[in-house]
Amino acid sequence: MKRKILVFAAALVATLAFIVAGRGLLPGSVQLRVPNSNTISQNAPMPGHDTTPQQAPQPIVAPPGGSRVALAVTTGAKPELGYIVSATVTSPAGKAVSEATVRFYDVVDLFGQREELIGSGTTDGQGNASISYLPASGGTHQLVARFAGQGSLSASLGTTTFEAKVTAKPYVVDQPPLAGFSRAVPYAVGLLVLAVWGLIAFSLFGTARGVVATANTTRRKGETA
Amino acid sequence: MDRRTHDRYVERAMWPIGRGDRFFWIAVVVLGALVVAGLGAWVYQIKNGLWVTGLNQKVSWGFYIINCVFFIGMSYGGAMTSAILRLTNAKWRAPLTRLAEATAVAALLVGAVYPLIDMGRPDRFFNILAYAQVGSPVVWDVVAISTYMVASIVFLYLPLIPDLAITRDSLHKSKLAPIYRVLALGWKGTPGQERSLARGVGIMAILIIPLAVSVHSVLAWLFAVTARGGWHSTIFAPLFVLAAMLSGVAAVILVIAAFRKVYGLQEFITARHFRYLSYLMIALGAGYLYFMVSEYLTEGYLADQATAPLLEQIFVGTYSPAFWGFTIVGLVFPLVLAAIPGRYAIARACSASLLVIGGMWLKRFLIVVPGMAEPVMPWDWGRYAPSWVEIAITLGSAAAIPLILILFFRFFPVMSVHEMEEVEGGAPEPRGVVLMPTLAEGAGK
Repeated sequence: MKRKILVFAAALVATLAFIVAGRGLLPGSVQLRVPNSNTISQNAPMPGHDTTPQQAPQPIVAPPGGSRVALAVTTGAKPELGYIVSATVTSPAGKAVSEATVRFYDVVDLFGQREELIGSGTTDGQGNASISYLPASGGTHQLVARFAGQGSLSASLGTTTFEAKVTAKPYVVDQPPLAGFSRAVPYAVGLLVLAVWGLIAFSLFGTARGVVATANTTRRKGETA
Repeated sequence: MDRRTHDRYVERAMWPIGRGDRFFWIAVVVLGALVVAGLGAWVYQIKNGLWVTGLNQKVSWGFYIINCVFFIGMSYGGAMTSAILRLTNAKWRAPLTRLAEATAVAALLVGAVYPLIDMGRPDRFFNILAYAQVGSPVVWDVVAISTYMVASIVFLYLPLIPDLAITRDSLHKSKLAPIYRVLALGWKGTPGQERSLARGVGIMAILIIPLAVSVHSVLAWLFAVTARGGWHSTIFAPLFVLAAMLSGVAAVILVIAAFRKVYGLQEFITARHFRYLSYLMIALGAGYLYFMVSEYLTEGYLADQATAPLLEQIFVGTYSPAFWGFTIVGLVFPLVLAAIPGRYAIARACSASLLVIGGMWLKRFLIVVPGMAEPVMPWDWGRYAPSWVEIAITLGSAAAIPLILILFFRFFPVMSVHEMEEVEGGAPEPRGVVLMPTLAEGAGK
């Protein structure tokens, strides 16, 4: 018995050693050396997938000396439809700028700080442009309105923050017709596979048990006789 | 049964055990050299990566997947032949079942290695288990093949138990006697032991058929669930099952003919056995031809955008020599050859089997490579030519099957003496056909 355990342990150690040694031999696990470049480890992050801590968000600052964009958020007549985001574009002299396109953005954190376009509008005779915005999530939102410039007027932007209390209802995707069935199939097949393994085990061990038991009975009878 | 007949069976079944004449060693050295060359090529591929093969970005499945489907199919035929003959209680099966079951296990052991070879990094096989996606046909394959492998080994072992007892008693002075003693489980041939064995073999004979069908269906779904021209076909699973049975029966015929000749079993395995197996092969071949025509007719008539260029390449294009070679030389002609009544039944059965095996390999090539080479975007057709590495591994694996069989039958009886005696009336015949009474008997004990 002790010998069997020793043999088994030796086989186990040899197998593990083979696996460990084999990993070192295999081409994919060695370091890749690209000509005229640094050594790239296999576990190094892919370009564009930097795993270093994110840098602090850059402040959104309007270029000096240009037009001005004032941004404000108010609650609409029907709060459930969202907020009214208004921007007023004025020239450096303080005159309203009409027919100017203003793009509105919500600053979101998606693999770093990004501006997500939420709508755009054209200013009227008072230099006002507005959109209706129903955020997807509650809490503090930083909004940016950007004016790209027009004629002699240079580009500018305005920012504001507001506390969103009304949000859009989450969009629920309809279940595909066979979704429930598809979810159940792996479990059914798993049960079937287990049943098959059970039958194989029953066939092997049941037979072995039957044969050995009968052999022992016969032997005992022979000894008694 | 008289003692002399029993002794004759034992003598013929046991004489190769522990012996090795000149031919045995020549066969072992030649086949072993091929296997070692194949293993060397695999090690070379592991060290250098899959670029040493002819596989490329467009045709990423080649010889390895063809061989995987081919050898596992061959295994299926061996297991099915034995199981069907047992379940139908065909008395002529007695000298054949052991060879058929061993062929099934040997071919399966070889075929199951190919997915590892095709992966390029065999150590990543464990990722399939660790990160298994139940929706992936590759995971289905792993489950089906491993289950079928265990079942095939059990199906080979259970009927071997009485013969292991005979070997134990005949070779009690041999160094291997303790191993035979353990494996024989104290078999003495009592009615209780016969009942237990009949129940176990009966369950396995019934179980092995749906298992083998499931393995080849899953292999077919590996292709059929993809949106590629020529692969996305509802008929693929039954087509694969039939192809597997056909090539498997052909392989069994060849194995039986070889061992009959080398081990001098002409007294037990006669022309009648080859005729019956030929009938089985003809029936399967005719069925396969029907399925194939049905597949190509429906696809060709519709001439879908994805399949029409593929069919053109297969029927009249690059792959037409392989297709017509398979259809005429590898399918129709061998079936006619085997069906002709008259003399030389064994030679005709063997020639037909050889052609069928070659033809079925070509058919797997025609499924895998053109399906891969056909572009799914408006690009050029992919090209594939196997490298020496793939050819060496293929030859090595093909040599591994006879090598495994030769080595196996050097330690275990080539024929089932127990079944031969059953057929002759020397031992109580188990009710293999009807499972429920045998189960009931077992439960009532």
